[in-house]
Amino acid sequence: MQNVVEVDNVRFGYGARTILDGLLMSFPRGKVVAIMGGSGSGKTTVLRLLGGQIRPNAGDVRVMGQVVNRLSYAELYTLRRRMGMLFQFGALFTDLTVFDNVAFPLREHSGLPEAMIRDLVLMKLNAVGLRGAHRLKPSELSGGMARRVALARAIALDPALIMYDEPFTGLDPISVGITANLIRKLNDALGATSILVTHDIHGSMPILDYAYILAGGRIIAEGTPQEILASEEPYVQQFVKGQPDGPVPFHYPAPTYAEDLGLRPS
Amino acid sequence: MMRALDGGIRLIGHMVGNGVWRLGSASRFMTQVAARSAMAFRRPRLLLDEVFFSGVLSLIIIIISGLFVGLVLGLQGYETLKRYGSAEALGTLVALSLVRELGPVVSALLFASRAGSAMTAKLGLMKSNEQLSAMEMMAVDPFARVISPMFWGGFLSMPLLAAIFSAMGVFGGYLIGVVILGVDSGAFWSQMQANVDLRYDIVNGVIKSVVFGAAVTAIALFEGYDSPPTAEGVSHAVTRTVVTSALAVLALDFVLTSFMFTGL
Repeated sequence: MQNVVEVDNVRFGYGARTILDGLLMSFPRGKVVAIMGGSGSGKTTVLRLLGGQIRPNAGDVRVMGQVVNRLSYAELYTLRRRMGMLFQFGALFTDLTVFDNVAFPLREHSGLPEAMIRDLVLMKLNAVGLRGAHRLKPSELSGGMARRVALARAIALDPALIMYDEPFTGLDPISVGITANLIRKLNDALGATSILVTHDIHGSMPILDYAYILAGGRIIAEGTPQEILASEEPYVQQFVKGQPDGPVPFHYPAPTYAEDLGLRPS
Repeated sequence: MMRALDGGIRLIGHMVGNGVWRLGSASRFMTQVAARSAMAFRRPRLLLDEVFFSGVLSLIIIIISGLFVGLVLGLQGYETLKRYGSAEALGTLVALSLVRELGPVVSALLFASRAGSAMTAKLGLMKSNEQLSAMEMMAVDPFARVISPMFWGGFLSMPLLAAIFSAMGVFGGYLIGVVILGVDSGAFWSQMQANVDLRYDIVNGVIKSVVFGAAVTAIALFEGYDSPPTAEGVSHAVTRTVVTSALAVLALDFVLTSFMFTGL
């Protein structure tokens, strides 16, 4: 199966601090793949590498056959027209209505007449169940609704690759279900490839084809949802079961408790 | 003693290093603004929106302040000129004070407080809410779509606001001098007409307001773009915009006045 995205032995860091090290990933066409891990594991950094917002220190990121980290400014912007991205809290333009937010990429890139843009926007909003909210401002939307509007905006140009940064954060269980269902349905309807960066096991597992688990900037487990859930890797166990202590310690590194409290050992 | 000296030197080194770093970032930022300016002029709607945001929305404070400055100039000028028996020169005094100095400088200070702070807050919040990143990921360059139109909107608005400020100031001086204190109306206007030179006084005043507009807008946009994406970050950036702009306007005014009116 053809890979839409390939991450080839990528290393990335800020100065001496390594964020990602030796990353090897592939994302086949038509699949919904998750990148999971705890906070600070480097998940969002992977998305920023795929979108060309940052460049790796070593290795290559290939998206639709093009090496993102070697593209010129113009080539990168051309490639981005075939990508959609849902940001963690939607990143809707607060001075525009729901309609204008979804119309934004169409008006910037499509050159279509306004009447056709109107129809397309209403179709996209209908797909996420918010056609009736097209006159509202982002400040009038709930968190879940804002995320769905952002999703409609992300798919406005029918992208071949859709990236989701923590799509379930801060949502109630009903909204998590709705959003997860939409991600799967839209991916299949558009024949796209979806990459989810998430730490929400329960929200994402039912819709996934494959998942990578990151810890300390490395892949520590990968496989289908069933394989991940059955993994005996201690970190994966802690992550999947939400255990408070384990390979990821409860306490931030610190001197001994007695030392901090000024107690002398007897 | 040595420790305090060491600390002081470190602090100065840190401040100089940080200043040079920020100056470099600001130069790079302004180069990008200049390089991506074409869209602002290809799509006049974007530019007009920004002229509305920074110019039209500043009108009320500019008009009211201009009027009060003119009223005060009229009162002070009349009192002083009357001592020398030349109260008819009030029109000249009010007009020259406004078009050469007070119009460009005070309107630039007001512009920095009203429009400059708003620009910084808007850009800082767009950054912290990931709206600029979202734009980039939609293959829309934020420099071309948002920042350059904001810069040119501020750049165009400032001389117009300074002109309105000066006009309102002259009107205020007229109200006090002619309507209230009884200066002859013909003398007020004819002296003004005879003594205010278009090139020497008015054009130099316009040049000042253009320079101030460019400086204040550039500072406001850079501070917004460079602000840490947090509530404190945006708040500090807004404060820095107002303080830095005010100091820049006053320093630039001294330099420009030195060249324009003293023949340095």
